Amino acid sequence: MDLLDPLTLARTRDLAWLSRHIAAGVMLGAQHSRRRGAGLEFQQYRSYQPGDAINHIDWKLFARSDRHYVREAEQESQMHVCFVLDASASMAQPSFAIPELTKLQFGKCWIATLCWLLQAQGDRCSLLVLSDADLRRVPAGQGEAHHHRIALELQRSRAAGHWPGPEQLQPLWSQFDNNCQVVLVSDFFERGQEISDFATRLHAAGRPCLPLQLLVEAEETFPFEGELRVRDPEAASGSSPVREMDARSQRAQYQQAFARAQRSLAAGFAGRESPLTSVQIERPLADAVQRFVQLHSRIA
Amino acid sequence: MSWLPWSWQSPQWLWLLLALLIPLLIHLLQRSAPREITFAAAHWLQRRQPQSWKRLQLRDIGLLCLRLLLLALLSALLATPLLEKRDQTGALLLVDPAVARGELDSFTEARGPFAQVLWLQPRPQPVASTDPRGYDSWNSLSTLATEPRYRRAHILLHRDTASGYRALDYSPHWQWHTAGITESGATGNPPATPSIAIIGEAPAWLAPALQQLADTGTARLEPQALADPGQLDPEEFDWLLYSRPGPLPEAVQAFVRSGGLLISDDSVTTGQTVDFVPLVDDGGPTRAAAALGRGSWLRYRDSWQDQSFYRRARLPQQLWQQWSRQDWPLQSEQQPRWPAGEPPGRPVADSEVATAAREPLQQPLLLALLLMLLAERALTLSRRRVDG
Repeated sequence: MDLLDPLTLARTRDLAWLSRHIAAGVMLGAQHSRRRGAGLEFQQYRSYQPGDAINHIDWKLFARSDRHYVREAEQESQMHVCFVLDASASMAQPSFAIPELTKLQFGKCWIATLCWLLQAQGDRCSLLVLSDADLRRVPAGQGEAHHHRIALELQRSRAAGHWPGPEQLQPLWSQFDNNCQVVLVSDFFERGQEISDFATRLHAAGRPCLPLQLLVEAEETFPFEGELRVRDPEAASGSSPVREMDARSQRAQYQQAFARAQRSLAAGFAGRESPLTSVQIERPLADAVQRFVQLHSRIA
Repeated sequence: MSWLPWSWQSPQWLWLLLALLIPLLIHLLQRSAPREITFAAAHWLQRRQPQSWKRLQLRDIGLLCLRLLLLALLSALLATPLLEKRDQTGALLLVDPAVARGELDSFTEARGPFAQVLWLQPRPQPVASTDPRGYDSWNSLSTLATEPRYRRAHILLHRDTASGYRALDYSPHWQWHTAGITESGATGNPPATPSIAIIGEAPAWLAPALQQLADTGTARLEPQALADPGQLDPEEFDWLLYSRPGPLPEAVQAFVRSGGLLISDDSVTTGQTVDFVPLVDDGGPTRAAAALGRGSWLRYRDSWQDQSFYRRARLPQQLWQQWSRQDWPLQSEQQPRWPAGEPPGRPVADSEVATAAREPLQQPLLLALLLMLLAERALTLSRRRVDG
């Protein structure tokens, strides 16, 4: 499903509108998805089917019609989804095919789209944009106005610095209240284990952390030729951020090392029962949303 | 660059080949400054310095070669190469119409086979299907010398084919043959010896002079004395030495008009007015000449019985030269014929017939240029896409 080409995605500034547009495409043919079931607000009767609880049968209607009907009401969602967006400098990595499109821009639009789908479903959303240079926070809420607020906050965020340290994260833990699912959007390029530790700690606290990894195609293939000066946006302090190398001689080794790291990352999340969704930002965004939703059907 | 199978119509554009230095320089300069990229996954790259000798290697050799080729093609296209078109149909023989069928057959048997045998005429026709027409072979040769198709033909001439009135244009690639004559360069019969009649008393110096000419091998003249001018037959005699003083008989005048050469001194007169023209002094006896009909009258100004006439060291040679030079048919007959392989005249160089014999290569070159341009663009854009 290619509703939007990546260049439009990179150039459109109105995230709220863009996310609604993409969400409309994602949910095409799957409207009226509000859940029905037991609740206070009546929605419809339906015929009794084996397996339905007996106490859901409307006995008065049975007396009138001599048939068993089950009373259904709109189910109220109790879900709160907290989006955590990594805004470290590596997220500013542009695509080599579409230089206007960065991982951060893709991530912002992806979050806004999923957020719109969730609010249409009646769920609550909150947002955390994390980097040691810029911390942004939108508390939980629902409705279109809240979606607008999240979109605005996403729009303002910039990629810089590193993943925040434990001291900066400490006051944020209260954000993750009881019925909270965390969607962690990052490239998972970490200096040590800081992002993985963050996910592990959430998992340990009983908050499912659903990861979305954003990659640039060239990060998987390393298609460069000739001599290169490579600048590492998140180079460790003390080491030179720029190094020179011959691309061809590095390629095979890089591809092996990168694949190994990816396998290790995916295995870590699989062990915590929250499989990793890895997407290339050059691919259609709607596909990335659908893949994520299908993988974590608990949200949809 | 004649060794190449093509030549250039505008070779000055070949200076454009110097532009090949431009992409070479660009690639060299680019090599000295490696491209810088921001790469978030640099963490997984190995920390090792590139080997220093690798810095000397050119990047994108394929692209560089493509660009060099593109420029070379462009300059070649502007210089307009002309491909030499070789006629592969086989040996072609042009036959002088004066050559008899029998001579032609024996020649083709000895030298053949020939893919085509054509009459030597401005528009050559096959010998097998057409009869020869009386064309001037000299003119035909000059016409065909510039025809690309006949540039490498064999030419078979009759030994008596006369020379023309203008310089012969010929192809240096022609192979000359003469019918009925071996290829050793013989040009025909030895020079004909004129037959001489004498009327009147022969001068005393004549016999020793003729003897000396015979001894030196110049000519063996055997004069025949005639008593009656009525016996003069133009078919039989070429020269007449007439030494009877007085008016010229009518029979002698008739002999001269029908092509004979009359030689006399000033004792012979004529009733008519004859326009004698004094001839250039060549060291021999002084003389004048007049044209009578198809022949001529050579008359010495003094009596040839005088000592001043015959007391000369080189009298026999001088007389032979004066007499034979005055005999026009003899002159014509003694003109040298075309020696095989060394025709007189002007060779027509290949460059003068280039336009028709060469085929321009522009269309295939243009096509190649466009394909190269597309390939270069595709390669460059793919590199840009990869490198960012």
